[in-house]
Amino acid sequence: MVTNVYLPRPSRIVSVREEAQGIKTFTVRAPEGEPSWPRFAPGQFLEVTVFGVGEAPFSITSAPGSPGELELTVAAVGEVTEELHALAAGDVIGVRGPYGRGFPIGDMKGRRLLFVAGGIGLAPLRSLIGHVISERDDYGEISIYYGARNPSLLCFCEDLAAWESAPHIQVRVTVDSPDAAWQGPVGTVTSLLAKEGYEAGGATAFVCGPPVMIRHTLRVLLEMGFAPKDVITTLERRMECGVGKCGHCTVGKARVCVDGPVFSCAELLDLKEGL
Amino acid sequence: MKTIAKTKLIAFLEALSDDYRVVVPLQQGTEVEMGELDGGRLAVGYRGKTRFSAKECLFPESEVMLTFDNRGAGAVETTEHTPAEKTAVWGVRPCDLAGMATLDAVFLSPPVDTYYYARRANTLLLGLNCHEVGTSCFCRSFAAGPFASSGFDMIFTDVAERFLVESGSEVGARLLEQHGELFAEAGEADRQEAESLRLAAETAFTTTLDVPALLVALQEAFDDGVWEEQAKKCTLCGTCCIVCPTCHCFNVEDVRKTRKLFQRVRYWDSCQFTGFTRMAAENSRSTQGERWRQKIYDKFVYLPAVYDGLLGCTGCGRCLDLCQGNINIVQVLEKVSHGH
Repeated sequence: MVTNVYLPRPSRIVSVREEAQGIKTFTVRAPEGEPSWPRFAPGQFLEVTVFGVGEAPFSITSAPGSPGELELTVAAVGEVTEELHALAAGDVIGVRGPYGRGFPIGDMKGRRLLFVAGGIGLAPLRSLIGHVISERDDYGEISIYYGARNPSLLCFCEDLAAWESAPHIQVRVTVDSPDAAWQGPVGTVTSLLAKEGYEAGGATAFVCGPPVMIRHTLRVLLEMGFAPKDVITTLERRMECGVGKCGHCTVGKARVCVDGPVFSCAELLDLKEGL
Repeated sequence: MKTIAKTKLIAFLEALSDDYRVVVPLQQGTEVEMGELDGGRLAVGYRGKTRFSAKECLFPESEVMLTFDNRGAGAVETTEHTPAEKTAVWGVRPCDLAGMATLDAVFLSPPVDTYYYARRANTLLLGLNCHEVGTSCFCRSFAAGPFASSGFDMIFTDVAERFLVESGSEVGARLLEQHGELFAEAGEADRQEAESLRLAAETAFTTTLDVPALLVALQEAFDDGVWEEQAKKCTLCGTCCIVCPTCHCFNVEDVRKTRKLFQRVRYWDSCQFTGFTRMAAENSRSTQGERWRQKIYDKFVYLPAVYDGLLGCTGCGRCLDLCQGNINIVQVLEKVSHGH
């Protein structure tokens, strides 16, 4: 008998946190009957079923391992996500996964790390940042550039403050449209990074955000002297099955669900439709 | 090798129906369509191909995967609908048998697709060689036909008043033995007749595609203007994917049956539809030219890169016959291969 890879396992929502305007973070307990989540890597995702509505993929936001609980950060932008936002602690969702290829953790040791995120694009990078901080001595200095359209859309503000106060971590946050209380930089995260400059030697860059932001940032990083193999991003595509069958999430010959969602810029340059 | 008189074929199929749902080509007006044995007139000696491919026997147009019964208070009971019915399909053309090899690669490579796996294991494939090829057929360009060499439990060849029959699997051999009273031993003359039919069929193709030249040309043709140009004629109907024996893309949707019961259904999708890659943030293939190019590159470049050289086209020619925009894909691809 073949295991049914399409069968969601019931998992209970432990808590729900308002992350930013229209964005919530869900803490989800390991599937019923399982003591902990299957081991996952930062950058991997879950297929989440909102019973009676449908299924959609979400990257895991919390740090990796086999914890009893993990976090998913979700913007309400469609049918499944809006109904997910209507759920509360105690409600049950269905989960499949973790799926996909995560960040290349083995290649990062000893390097300086640059994270560039836009909006909810910080969600998958937060899992990686959490992992890196748990093994802080294995890495060089860390720089985190984060931007959102306006201050109400900034996610993980508590994490940003905690990272900023940690040693050898630089955090820069910018918004396109400031409100009266905003005192930080104004403009896109990519232009802030370009303006302030970054020494590419010995560094690996991680980029996640809206598609247009990713394309623009990759270009800027290459101009700064990063080798394409040292620029890593994670892609979002429409997915149905999550296991490489349905054909929806392809980028050239790559299926984002199994060959990604994490790709190096070098890999994307090799892929037709990659950039 | 055995033979069976055409008049005895129905007896064989009826005998199979004790254990299997039997699917055969049926004459439907001027078309031949696959359908259940008792669903119409069996097209015993049909020429060319069925209008739709036989892929539906393994990968139906739509199927219920799961039922969710919401019992309230967080309790959801899930029922799996793994297909258990045994099906025998007679009259499958070599182009469709070749298409099933592509479907196998996609659905049976890890992680195995439960639903396809169950159907595949429960399906008996009884092929029928083509002794008379259609004007749009070009399976010879892929060595997929006109005679099949693998991928069947039994293969039939239409020789005047009878069929030559060979088994291609243990199950096929066992069935031949089990129903021995319906079959006769084939003689040397039968073999020679089949061989001359094969040679005649192989030289009868009026449509051909230079596949090796195409595979080389596609390495440099990604940014060619031909894709946008052809796409202007595309009506976005998706017929080319629906009739294709290798197209396997599907969409998944949860459908409400009652207040508490929901079914998770999957159904064929097409990369030619604008919504195929649409997301909240953007559509990664926003023009029909990009979508048209995707269809060609997926079949001739991406699938073989992922599945060890396997192509996503078997030369069945159905997309030529049924394109609503009257696009002749073979002519377009020949232009790509040999210059505009």
